[in-house]
Amino acid sequence: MSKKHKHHQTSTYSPADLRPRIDRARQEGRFQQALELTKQLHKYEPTPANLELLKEVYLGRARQLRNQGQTRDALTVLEVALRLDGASPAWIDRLAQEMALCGEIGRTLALLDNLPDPARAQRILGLVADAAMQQEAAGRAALPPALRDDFDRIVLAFGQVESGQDEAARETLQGISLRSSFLEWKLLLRGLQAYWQNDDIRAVENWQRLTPDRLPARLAAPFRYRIDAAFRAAQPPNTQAALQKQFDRFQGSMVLSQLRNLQATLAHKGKMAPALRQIEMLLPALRQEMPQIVPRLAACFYWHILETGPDDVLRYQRVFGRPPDDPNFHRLQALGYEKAGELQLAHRHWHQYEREIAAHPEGWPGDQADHARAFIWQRMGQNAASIPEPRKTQKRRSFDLFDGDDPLAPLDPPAEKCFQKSLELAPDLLETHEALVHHHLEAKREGKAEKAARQLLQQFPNHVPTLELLSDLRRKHGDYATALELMEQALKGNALDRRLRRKVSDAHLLLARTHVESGRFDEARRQFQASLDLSGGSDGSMILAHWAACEFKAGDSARAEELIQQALTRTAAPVGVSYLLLTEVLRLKLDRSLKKRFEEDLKAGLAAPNPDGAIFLTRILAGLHTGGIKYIGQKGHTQKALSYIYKARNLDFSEPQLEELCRNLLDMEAYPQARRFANIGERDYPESAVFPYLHAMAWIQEKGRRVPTWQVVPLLKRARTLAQAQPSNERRDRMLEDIDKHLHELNPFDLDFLGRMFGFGEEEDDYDTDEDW
Amino acid sequence: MDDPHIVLGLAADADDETIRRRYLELVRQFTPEHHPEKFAAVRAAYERLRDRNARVRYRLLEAGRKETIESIVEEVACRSSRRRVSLKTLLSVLPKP
Repeated sequence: MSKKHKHHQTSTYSPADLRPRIDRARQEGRFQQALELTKQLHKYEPTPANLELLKEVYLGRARQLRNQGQTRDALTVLEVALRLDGASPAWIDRLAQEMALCGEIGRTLALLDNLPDPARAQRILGLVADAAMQQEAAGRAALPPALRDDFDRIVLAFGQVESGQDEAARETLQGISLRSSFLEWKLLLRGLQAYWQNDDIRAVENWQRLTPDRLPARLAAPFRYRIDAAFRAAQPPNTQAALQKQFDRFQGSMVLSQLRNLQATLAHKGKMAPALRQIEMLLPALRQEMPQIVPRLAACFYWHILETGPDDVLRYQRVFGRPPDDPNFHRLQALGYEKAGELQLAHRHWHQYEREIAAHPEGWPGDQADHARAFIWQRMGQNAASIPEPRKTQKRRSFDLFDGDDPLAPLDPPAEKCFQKSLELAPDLLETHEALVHHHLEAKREGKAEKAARQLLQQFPNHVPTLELLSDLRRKHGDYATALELMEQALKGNALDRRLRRKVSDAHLLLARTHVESGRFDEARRQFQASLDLSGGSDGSMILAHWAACEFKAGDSARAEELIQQALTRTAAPVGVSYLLLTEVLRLKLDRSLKKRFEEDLKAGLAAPNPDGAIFLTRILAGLHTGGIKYIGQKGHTQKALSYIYKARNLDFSEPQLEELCRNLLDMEAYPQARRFANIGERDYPESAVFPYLHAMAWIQEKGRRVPTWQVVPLLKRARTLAQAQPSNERRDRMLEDIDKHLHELNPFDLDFLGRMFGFGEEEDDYDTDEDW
Repeated sequence: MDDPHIVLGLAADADDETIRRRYLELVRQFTPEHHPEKFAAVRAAYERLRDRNARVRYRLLEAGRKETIESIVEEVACRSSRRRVSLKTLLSVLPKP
């Protein structure tokens, strides 16, 4: 359908039909059609409202034409529009403004003669000044003589600023008064002067005063974009790109422009080959202009190979040469293969890299070469200690001849040897000591773990986690005196640490019990008192109950009854006291009447579960378990206690109660129960970081079971996010440290490949999407 | 700028004492109240170099790893000298009237 035909069709519309059509045409930017329709409407109904509408549509069309660069047509539209209401100063004002924006200086000035308000005229004269500056000599000629002097001053000052005569320019600009139509140009120049003198604050101050829709503001924008973060952030993305481009053009730096092209190549394609080709062209200029940038660019691309794959190693080498710290790319390959879970290959490359450093220690200042080698051995040890689960489908791609290796085969050298090599080179490497201890523990080699822990303590005598670990091991073997000694050493530097105080209290209690068993009642009483002095919460009643059993054994029943009463007043869970006394009666082979009495008390207590009781019982069971204490009937009692705890699962636990219960269950190695209650904690206290953390720990600590990484990593990450949202304190920080340690062990590079490899969040078919490595 | 030696203005082979002295000098100069970003950068750089083990670990596994093409372009843009341009050049980016 032709335009002409369309127009004919519109002539048949009634005024009621025309209005919505006009509105729609305006909204959709079809101003020419809107103008035709509005003319018809005004012809049918020449009301003041329709005249206003017609004026608006004329102006809209003129603006549209100007924005399309058709200023001549725009001016024609404006001339026609002038006839609509030629006597109205407001209408003349608007038309004059639009004419000035179209660059029509003569007609604008003629219209301004009809404006009675000098303030309005002054604003439009500013636009006339912009038009004149843009039209250069022709613009000057079109100006009235009164404006030409300021025009000349601006042109002169620009020349002076360009040639570095800042003082002369300043004097020239002084001739521009505050009322001048060229005042904005003066501000632009002042800003540019400041910018070129590296005085960004003053530059921005000047440019902030510019009127946004005037030409000087547009000219200042690319420079302001570079130095004014708020201005930059306020621009839409397209404008940002345009301003950046304009700035680069003004800056005239070939290197910068080529680097931006490089940036665009990497951003759009993500591939190294075309980017490296661009760098080959750029490098000579870069070496000459900014040699310090070359190694940074090389580093950027070196590490980028981990993302793109091994094919780019040779391309990289051709462009940048061999990296000084990794001349044969063994480190890069080791990291790449680690990333892909190919630990056999990673192990070999790490080993070769270690040999390289050993052969050329001069590249590392002082004794750093030995430490670097020690770190590599440590890493190899960690890799050897944690062979990942096999992938279901094997579709690997490698870049050397080792492709046929079985990823599940043990690594050679094995973990222990790697850690030992690391410690030979750097005996003060704490992480290696710790890794070796844990490696032995994982493998259930407690003797070797103890030996490694003692080696660690020789270097770091106050290392609390190791002191605790060794104390736990000694305690497990019934060596309560040494266990206590180690815990006291741990407490020395951390006297206010509640957790450590509790553990020392426990150690005193266990030692007291051995004294009771041996009939050394006075020593036992001293240990009970020491334990009581360090205890807190419900622990006091537990200690008092033990002490009571001691006094029964010593034959002082009156003192025993007194202690039982004290124990009961300190707890809201008498079931715990009954259970504890029963276990002690059995263990210490006390009178049968006592056994009967406490059995009945326990039976009554177990009938009505409550949160305090659950915590107390788990605390006792944890103490028995970690102390390695056995007695006849223990299994049945444990079952009853666990059944009580199970019944308590629907009770209302406060957050600290639930946390304590979970921790006790972990100490008991009752992992499924610990997970269940941690889950309840996650449900009831979703803001708490502790429960996802404890949930994860209940998986990690469970021996003889493979850690389900796909469950544990998200739990640890959630715990980390929640903990990070909490204010910093020692407890939170220690938890975060532990979370990071486990995350590093489970997912060393925080890579999504684990997700793909183990299938969380994706279908099994997607296992091998990271083909390059 | 990712290199902690450059952030602290130190040679690559600076020892513990030199690093610590320089760090204390910089945190006195760039207090967290007045220069929070610079202070954080100095702290982070110091953490990477504070002892021999940290330095070796950094060099082995982290050096240059955070370099991005964006940061390099930004650096080049900042370091490039500011070229003065003429009125004609400025106006050339505008559409012709």
